[in-house]
Amino acid sequence: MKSVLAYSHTIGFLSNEGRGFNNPIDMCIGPDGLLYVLNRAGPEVGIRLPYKRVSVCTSDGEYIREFGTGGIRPGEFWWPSSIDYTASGEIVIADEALDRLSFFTPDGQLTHHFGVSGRDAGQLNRPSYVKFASDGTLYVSDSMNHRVQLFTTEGEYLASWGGIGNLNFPWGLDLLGSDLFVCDWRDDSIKVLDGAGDITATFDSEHTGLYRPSHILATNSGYSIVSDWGNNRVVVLAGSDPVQLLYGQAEDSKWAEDYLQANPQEAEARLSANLLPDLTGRQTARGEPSANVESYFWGPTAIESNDLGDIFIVDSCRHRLQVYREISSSNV
Amino acid sequence: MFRQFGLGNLRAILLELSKDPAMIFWLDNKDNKIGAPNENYGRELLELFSMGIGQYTEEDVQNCARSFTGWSIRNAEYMSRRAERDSIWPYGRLDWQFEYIPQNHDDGVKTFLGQTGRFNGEDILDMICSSPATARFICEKLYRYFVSDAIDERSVDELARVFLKCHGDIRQVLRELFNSDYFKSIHNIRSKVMSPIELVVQTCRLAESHQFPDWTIVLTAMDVNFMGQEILNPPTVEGWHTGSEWIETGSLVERLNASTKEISNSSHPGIRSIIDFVRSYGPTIEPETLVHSCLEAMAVYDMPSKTIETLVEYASKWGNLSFARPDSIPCSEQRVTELLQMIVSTREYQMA
Repeated sequence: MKSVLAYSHTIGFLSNEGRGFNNPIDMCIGPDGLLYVLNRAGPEVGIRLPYKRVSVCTSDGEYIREFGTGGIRPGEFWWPSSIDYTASGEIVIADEALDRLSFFTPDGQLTHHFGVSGRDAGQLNRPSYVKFASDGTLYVSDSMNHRVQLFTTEGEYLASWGGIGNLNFPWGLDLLGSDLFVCDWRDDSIKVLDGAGDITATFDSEHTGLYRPSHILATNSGYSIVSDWGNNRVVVLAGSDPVQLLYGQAEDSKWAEDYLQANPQEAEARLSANLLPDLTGRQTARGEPSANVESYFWGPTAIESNDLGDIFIVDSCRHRLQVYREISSSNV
Repeated sequence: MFRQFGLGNLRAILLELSKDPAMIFWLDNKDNKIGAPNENYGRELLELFSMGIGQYTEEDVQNCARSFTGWSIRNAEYMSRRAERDSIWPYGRLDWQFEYIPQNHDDGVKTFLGQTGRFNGEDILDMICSSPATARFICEKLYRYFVSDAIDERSVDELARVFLKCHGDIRQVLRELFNSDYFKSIHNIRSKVMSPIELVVQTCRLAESHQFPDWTIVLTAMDVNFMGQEILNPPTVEGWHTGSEWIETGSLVERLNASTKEISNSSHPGIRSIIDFVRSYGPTIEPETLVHSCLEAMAVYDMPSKTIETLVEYASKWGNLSFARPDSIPCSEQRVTELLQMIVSTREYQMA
């Protein structure tokens, strides 16, 4: 194994409003360098609906603002699943309960939306991921229809790729040149599709060890970074070969430090606690270590990078982003 | 814990329970130390989880507690602070781990259930699990859950003998129960009041209303809550009071409303199947045929004749159903769903 990525810092804190996140599921980076973090929150009961929102902060963890709320009316979120920035400066958010793509200004004003539930061409069934391409195409993981669909930002249907037998509940997407990398979630694989939508490569779990991958970041240095959701880890791939496995090593963020400073008794007890316990028995079963060890990834759902070389891993069940940096810049 | 150990040996279940950090915290065993025993867990272990009240002495409770001193949780101070304030910060809930702290354990001589020694918790569990009182207590619980709210002493005694013979192997005890005559007896059919969860799940399965995860399941879970059973949150460590205690004026109204609401939607696949089954009897359906076909479609074969009479009387108010003409179908389908609502409102539907 190599050391490709190194831990840098953590951004986050559990918060139902204001500074913090509540089950962040995806993020995007605006042209202003700000991070737009989409909070899934839940369950869908009245008092908790406002927790579903977009939190905006800097890459250093300075809180800026938030917008959005839960609901089913235009501009509201029910099961928000993915967020991206379009070339025209709009933010697009996919909602997999409402089968809807909604577009907002950077300060949260709804501009338009589209989406019809169904299985016909152009219809959606649980859109789990949205990726905006530089040519203006929107790629949408149409999960329960087992396909990726292409639209314009106005909602005009362009094409449908994959389908039953080719994809199996696809989730995260990334583009590198004309290649579309698809996290084929239920197939535990990464599929690469060419510009015509044909599958040209498959990185299967036998090679990669992936289990229910949620997202992939394809980098120019030749590595792919995959949030291996089912294994609660992040895998750095060179081709289909895993070269680094990351399990998370989050430290206290600035927001966490502020909380502990305001709660000295809890902070004092935390200092003398062993937060990296040895685990035995049931605690070592799949999924359990993440619940027991606070610094580990727990349900990593997305990965993004900025122009400064920061790699943000959305650590959903821990309400934070773990930030890494690439320490090896040589190409594979 | 129950998924992994529930069909195993009772001793294994009680050992996992005694080491479960949630239980240790809830019943204060992290505060149970040499020289300062806390009897909370020791008492409840005997009273609620194994032997039942009246089967042990006060001295047994004290020595049981002493035996479990040192059975604690890791990072006890930090986890206690978090629990006191219900702190979920900075990064959400944090699971906790069992830790045995030998310096907190009282290794002195104790007498428990007539035996004397330097007992630790595991020794106590050995003695509990070989006690006839435990066999009786556990088997009565199983009988009440699977057979009837009304206990038949001879059947429970029979089951308790099996329990002791197989050293508390729950799978073997259940095998005995499920193969027994009393389990299959006609006198025990519909002899226990369904819990809210059982009632709601039965109705949802009948209607086939939740075939894939969707957000409306939250609303269904809230129905269960309104009926008096908040899922995974019993009111006390004793659990819920079951049987006829599920029924009181408020909860009964909730039970009826939730069931009739679920069954009234003819777009649910299960309801459509029932309607299609009724229609298979022909283009014109008499009220009596309507009632019997609905009961058959719902697999209700034991409805008392008096209740059937009442249902037929209700169905007769508007005469025969007709599916002969397209304009009569919606009305007839609605009458089918209305009858289904009547059926789920019967006393018998509340019983398992």
